[in-house]
Amino acid sequence: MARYVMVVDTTKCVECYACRVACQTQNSLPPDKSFNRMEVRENGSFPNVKAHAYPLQCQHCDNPPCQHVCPTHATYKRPDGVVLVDPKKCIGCKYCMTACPYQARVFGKDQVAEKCRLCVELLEQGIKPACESTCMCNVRTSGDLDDPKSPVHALLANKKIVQLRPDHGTKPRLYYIV
Amino acid sequence: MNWQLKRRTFLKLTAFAGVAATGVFSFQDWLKAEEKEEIRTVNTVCNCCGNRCGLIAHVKNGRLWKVTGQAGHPKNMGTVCPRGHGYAAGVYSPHRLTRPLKRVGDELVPIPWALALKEIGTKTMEIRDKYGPGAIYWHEYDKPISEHYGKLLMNALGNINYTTHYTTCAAGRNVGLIHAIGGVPGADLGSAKYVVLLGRSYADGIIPASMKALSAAKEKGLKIVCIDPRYSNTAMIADRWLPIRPGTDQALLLAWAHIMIKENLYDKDFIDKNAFGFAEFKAMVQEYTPEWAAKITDIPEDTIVRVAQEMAAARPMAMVDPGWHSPMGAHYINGVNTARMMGLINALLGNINQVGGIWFPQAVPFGHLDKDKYPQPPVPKITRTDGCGEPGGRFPIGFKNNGIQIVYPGLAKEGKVKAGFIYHTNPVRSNPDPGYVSEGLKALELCVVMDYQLSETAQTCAHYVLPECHALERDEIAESVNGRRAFISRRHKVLERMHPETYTVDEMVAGVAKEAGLGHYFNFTVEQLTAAQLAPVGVTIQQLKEKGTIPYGEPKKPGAPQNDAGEPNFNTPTKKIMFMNEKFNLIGWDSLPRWQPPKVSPQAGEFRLIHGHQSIHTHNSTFNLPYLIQISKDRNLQFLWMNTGKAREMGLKEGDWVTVSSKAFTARAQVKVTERLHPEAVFFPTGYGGFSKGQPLALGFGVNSNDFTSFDVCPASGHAMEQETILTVKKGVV
Amino acid sequence: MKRNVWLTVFAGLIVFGLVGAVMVLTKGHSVFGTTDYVPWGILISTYIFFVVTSTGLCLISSMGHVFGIEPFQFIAKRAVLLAIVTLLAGFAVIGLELGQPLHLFWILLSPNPTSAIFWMGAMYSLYLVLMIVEFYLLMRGQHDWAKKAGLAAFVAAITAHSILGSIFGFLHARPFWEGPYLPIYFILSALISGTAILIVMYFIKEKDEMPSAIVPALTKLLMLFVGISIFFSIWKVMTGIYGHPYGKYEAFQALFSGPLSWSYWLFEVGLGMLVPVIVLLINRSRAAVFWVAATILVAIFFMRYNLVVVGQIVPLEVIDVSTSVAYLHFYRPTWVELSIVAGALGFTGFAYLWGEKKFNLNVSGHNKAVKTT
Repeated sequence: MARYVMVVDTTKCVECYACRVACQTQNSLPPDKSFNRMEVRENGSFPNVKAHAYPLQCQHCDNPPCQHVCPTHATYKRPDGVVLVDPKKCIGCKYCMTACPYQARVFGKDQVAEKCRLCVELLEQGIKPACESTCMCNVRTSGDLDDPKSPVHALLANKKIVQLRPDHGTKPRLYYIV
Repeated sequence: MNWQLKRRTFLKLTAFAGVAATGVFSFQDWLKAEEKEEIRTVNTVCNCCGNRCGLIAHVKNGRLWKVTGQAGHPKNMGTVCPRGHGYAAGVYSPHRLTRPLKRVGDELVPIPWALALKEIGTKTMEIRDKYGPGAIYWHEYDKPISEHYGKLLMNALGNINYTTHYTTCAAGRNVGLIHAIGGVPGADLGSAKYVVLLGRSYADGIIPASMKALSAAKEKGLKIVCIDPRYSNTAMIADRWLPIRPGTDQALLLAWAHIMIKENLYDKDFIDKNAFGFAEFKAMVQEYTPEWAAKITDIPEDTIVRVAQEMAAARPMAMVDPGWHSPMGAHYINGVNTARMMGLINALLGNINQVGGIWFPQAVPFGHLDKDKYPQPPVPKITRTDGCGEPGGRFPIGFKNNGIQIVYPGLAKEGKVKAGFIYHTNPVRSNPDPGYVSEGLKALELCVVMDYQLSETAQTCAHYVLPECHALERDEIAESVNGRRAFISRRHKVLERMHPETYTVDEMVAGVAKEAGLGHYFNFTVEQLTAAQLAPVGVTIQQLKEKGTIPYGEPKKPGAPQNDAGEPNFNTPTKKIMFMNEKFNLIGWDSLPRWQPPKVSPQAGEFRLIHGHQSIHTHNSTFNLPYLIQISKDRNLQFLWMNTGKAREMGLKEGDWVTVSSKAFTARAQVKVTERLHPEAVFFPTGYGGFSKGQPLALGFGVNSNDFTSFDVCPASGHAMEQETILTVKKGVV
Repeated sequence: MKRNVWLTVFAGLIVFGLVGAVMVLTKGHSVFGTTDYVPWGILISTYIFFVVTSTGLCLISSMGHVFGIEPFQFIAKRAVLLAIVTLLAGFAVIGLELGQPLHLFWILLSPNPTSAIFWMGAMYSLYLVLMIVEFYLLMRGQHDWAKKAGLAAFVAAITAHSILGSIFGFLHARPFWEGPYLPIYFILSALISGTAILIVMYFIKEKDEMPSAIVPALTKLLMLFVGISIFFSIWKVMTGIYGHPYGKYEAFQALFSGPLSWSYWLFEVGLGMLVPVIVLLINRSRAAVFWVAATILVAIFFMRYNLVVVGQIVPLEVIDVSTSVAYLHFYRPTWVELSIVAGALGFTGFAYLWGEKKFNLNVSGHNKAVKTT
């Protein structure tokens, strides 16, 4: 059984948005719906300035608020860690959208809630998610914790890792290098 | 049994089942069923910008699903930038041109291909006979296939007026480099230890493999210094950002030369062997002290010194990146001299053709069509009408192969050119001073615009608009991806033409040629031409289709260019690096790259217009692509940048409307208030402000810097001097 | 004659609402002003408004025939009918607000017991059934059983409405909403709206035969509840701005001086809290009491709108909570959403007037008309 995680190295991100359009085409999304988004922060004042780009998406939490609040179990967490939405059960109440602390969800054209799927069909074939493979800066590294050869082990061991809003207790499966 | 009861129950059960079925058999299930269908992949080449990255197009149920990157293509190494995705998806744009159009009165009306080609061919010959072959020109954004066909048509007509967009792109840089070091090198970023990016932002003007190399090398200790009035997205991973006063990069380079020579930090052996005019150069840089440069560039003196020292300490795996557009390509009167200095600093670092340095590229030695079977026109013995690279011409030291497209509207107005073929480029929007451009192009007797969408040039000036099919819908010729090692690549057709009345450029040109009585020079197919190219290099079309990109030969070995006798063999008149070049006297400039201040400078309360690329857009051609323009709209990327201190002085906050004026133009725009900008600058992200009614997503969105800049031309390279523009900004809508 | 005018107006509103309903059913949520950042808009707050009204009617009127407080028995049947009608209106609004209402049967097939929306749906459905049963029993004159049904409905109402508050209260992602306040406050709000609407109903229906003890009693109750709500609100505001806590502070800024300030000061604070208390302290004439009650109902509509919207327009801070927010997400209802609100109001009026005519809602049996001078 796999245990999927993803490491996001924001120190390498240059806000190019390739991951956004790659994800949109992979998931046949329209231009105004995206499963990932970008925030850019400036620090300091001219001329001592630094800017950083933060790519954000569903964190595939181990304690997902979206799963707790979904009235029909349309949102569910797989044993391998990926959190998915079963569109046939979703009533479109959008509770998961307000419950998510990461603003990760969108309301899709099929009138149900949608979000990053960690490209599970690709992962299962050993192919990297679209956002990862398109990136020229190697920002994202997906991996299976149960695979000793996965590059995520080295990243998680050797880099300064943080998680987003750990105070929410969501136990995300995305790890950030900032 | 009560039949009514039974019937009622039956209806209720049916209704319930129907409702249940609707929920259970959802759209998603249907989509999954469809996914079991075949997915086919095709190796092809992107068409969004000049990189021409290797893509793999994935087609699901006959419809383009997505593109991924070819792992072996040196421009992208398996990745795809946002434009590649957005451009490919644009094959389904409802705004594509679908039929040839002819201007009748003020309208563009449909015309059958046969008639359009006949009229164009006939008119072209009339013009040639009446005004001479030099009255016709070809202007394009250069690509291998259209370069071949465009040059062939011009040669067949009897001129050498094949012209690229370069004078709004990199002409200044190219001409400066050619007259300094003899060619335009690429950068070995992946092995470098110290890279200075002079206005170049690989994260904004993306070359995926270059950004990838930069990012990977940084992990291994590469130091990156961004010299730019704007903290670009590349600066996000840089070690230093030096916010240089716009237009003063040459002064910085002169000071660096001063330091490196004074402190003996340069590669003396290399210079002793390979330099021409070094003694004069050394004397020249005496006065260009760091203190002098600090006042001009606004960079602290000790920083100027420290960077020069760090750079030299890392040589030869240190470089000033050859750059592209900013600030040498088409911006200031001193762009060419800045480029010369950039080449010369690299020479001082001794990094030419060295690991971690800059490399003159190799090209694939493609074959040619058999002249006996496929006759070629004689090489015309006439000079370029734009006088570019012609000894007695207007631009004697310009780069002859690319010409100077920005002067053609003026030439048309003067009656010196009468016919223009404009392919995959949009001068009315992408050149400064649209009024000058359109007035000139309208003076042509024949203006043919070939594009896949209605550009501003087509809308405003074209007599004929010929619709091109999308890049995914066509095969092209083999192309050489030049670099330290050369690669062979080719665009392969992915989809059948969505719009049957769209043509490829080879079909258009061959069609015109045929009607002009020159069809005998076009008696070959793209496939035959490709086969002829590939014959001597040992690769077949089938292999290219399967592998996508195939390396040719070996990577160049390190070592500065030299002949068999071991003597310097740079592609310059002296075969050496030209620290001094008398060619510049032809235009009344000094042989040495003496400090040349920008033509104009802002006074108190004024700003300099600067512009630059964004990662999601290219030129002005992507603003009607839904996936890409939506990002601009979601993230307010069309806002003009203004320094926070200046904004505060004017009482401006993020998103406020301002009125921006130059001598030529006034418009309103919204501002991004940021610390990431030199206070003297107002930054325009390029390409916005579209006014083509055929591009509704781009129409009227944002402002374009070209509206604010009047026509001007650099006498050395012919570049468009796009940032010699002073602006005033007022709060609110005036 | 006047009744026909009202019926026409309400019918017109229903038609307008149906136009909006067709728009959303055919075109989907793109016809709403909601976005991925503000997915809950005026239809959610309107739903809350209708069910708070229904719940309030149940709670206050229960004090009559359930708890045997004589003066309230007078209005019992009307209150129950209106409670049913407003709940149905609320359900209609939420049915159009859901993206896939036809998938609702999955609530039966795979319900999630940790979902407050699941429990709210279950309890309000139970409440509706109990109210219908109670109404049926009242009409049949079976007052003992009606009393039992009414008690059960009372419990269901309190449960359902505080669970509705908990939908917001459970969201730790949303600083303005999270916590025990809303489940508690919603009950208080129901008491306010129930009292107010009963006052309005008395004035409209029983002008000539008004039991004079009832209205003063209701008025005192109204002043008490509004006074408590002022006390609650003061502390909600104070804890929300003290020390500038992220999310809460910006939300209050949006209410005090941002895009919702007109709705906050004019309706929520003004007509919803200060005006009622000040006016009723000075003047308790029939006109004053009626108008204060009517405007409180309107104010509650805006209060729910403020609550729902302000909880979402402050951007979630994902990266660094020490940064301050430079912008708010935008939300404005479209005409389609407003048409559905109008249609629901029209349905409420029309259905109540129809029910009033069809059923004999006047007191009989043990609910003797208590006439006093």
